Amino acid sequence: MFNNAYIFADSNGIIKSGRGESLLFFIFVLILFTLSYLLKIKHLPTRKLSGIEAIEEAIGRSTEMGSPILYVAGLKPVPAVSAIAGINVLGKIAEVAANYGTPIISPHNNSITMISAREEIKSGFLRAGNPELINSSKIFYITDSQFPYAASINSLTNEVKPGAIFYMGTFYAESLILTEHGQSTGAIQIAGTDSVAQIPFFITSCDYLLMGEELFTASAYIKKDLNSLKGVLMQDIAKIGIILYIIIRLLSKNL
Amino acid sequence: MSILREKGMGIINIIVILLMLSVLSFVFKDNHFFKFTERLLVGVSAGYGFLIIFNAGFIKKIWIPLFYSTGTNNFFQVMNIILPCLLGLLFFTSFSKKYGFLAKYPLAFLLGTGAGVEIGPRIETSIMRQINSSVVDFSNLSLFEIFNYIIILIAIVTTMYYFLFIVRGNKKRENFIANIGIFFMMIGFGASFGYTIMGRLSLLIEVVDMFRERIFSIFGLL
Repeated sequence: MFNNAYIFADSNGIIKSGRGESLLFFIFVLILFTLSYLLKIKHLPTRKLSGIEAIEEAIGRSTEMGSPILYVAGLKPVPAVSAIAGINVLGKIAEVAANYGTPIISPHNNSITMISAREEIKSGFLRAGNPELINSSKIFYITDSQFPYAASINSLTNEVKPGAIFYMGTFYAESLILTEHGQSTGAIQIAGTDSVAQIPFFITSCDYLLMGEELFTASAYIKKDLNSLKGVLMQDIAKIGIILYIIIRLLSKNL
Repeated sequence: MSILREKGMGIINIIVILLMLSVLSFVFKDNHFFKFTERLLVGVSAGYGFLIIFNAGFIKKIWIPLFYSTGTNNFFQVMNIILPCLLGLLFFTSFSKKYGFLAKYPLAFLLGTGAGVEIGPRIETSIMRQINSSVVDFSNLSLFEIFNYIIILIAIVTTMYYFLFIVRGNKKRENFIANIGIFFMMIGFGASFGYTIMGRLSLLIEVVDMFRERIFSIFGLL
């Protein structure tokens, strides 16, 4: 029962391979965390993420067409990091949509994700100063099952003909079914996913894509506050650290 | 009895074929047959899902342990069940305008604990294991394998470089390295795309095969 308590060593006290690295990584993260507080930076330039910049364009186009916006959440429910990142992007979408007065329709496959989406949309509309436009009944639950969910969204896309469709979160085999159909209706499609296997399908059928870590960084891009951007900077430093660590270990092993 | 069973199977086969045809009819145009099948599928799956959750969640994890199990006599064990239930019940306050804010507490709890629980294993699986498998001992490898590995290493470094957001600027030289990363990613995505399409085609073949078998069984050809 207590075997799991040995994090870095087995029951005999012998350090397991890979566990020492976990400890090293933990210390590295701790240093970065402290550094992010100590650094006194006033401005952090970020590179462009076309998927984020296209949100306004897509909603503007939808408004011109007089069509609603469709937000499709991924299959992993809210405690999943991808779902939380998607909900953060939804906040920005809601804010822009409230400015333009465009309604948002959002079907869900999980009740918790649905409630989170409702709260985020409400916050977005409040931030934009248009709380009277909130329509919670348009953020609804369909079913937990994968393909009925996909079939239902396709049917909904046909009925409401949205001007812009956003797919955010983790998707599986239904990704191409959704995006292919969305494309056939002529909607601008922006996707954000961490499902590596589904990225090719989103690339071929969507107009813009936030792939992998771009989705997780999107919330910092949207907020643009210095603390969030410092977090992104520390992530960058961590990645450079990992690259250097791989090269150093490789050299030490083979020279 | 066997005649009845055969007739029953015949009717089921006819229903299955009709439903399959109505789903496939969406390829040409949205129509009422597709809508009927889609709603049937959604309704059945939602009902089935509700029963599963009710049985596996409420009956097995709350009702039986609280009222029929002898293992939950301890006060703390009972509280282990009651407190999450109360937290879950707070979700229902979202129906009230006055107490709707209470629904945010279980949500905050889920978001916080969920993210915390998921990040830990991710460090192990997505970072530590990837790093370990990226470091290879050349002494056991052939020249071709070393060359192969060096290409993989370039792919790893340049792809990670592409995902730098602040440190990487927009200069030509920096974009060049990132473009190499994109090049490798596109090769990977292309291979993945082709592989999945192959999988989908085998699914289609399976569906057509099933279709043929069911039609043959209706007409007694099997």
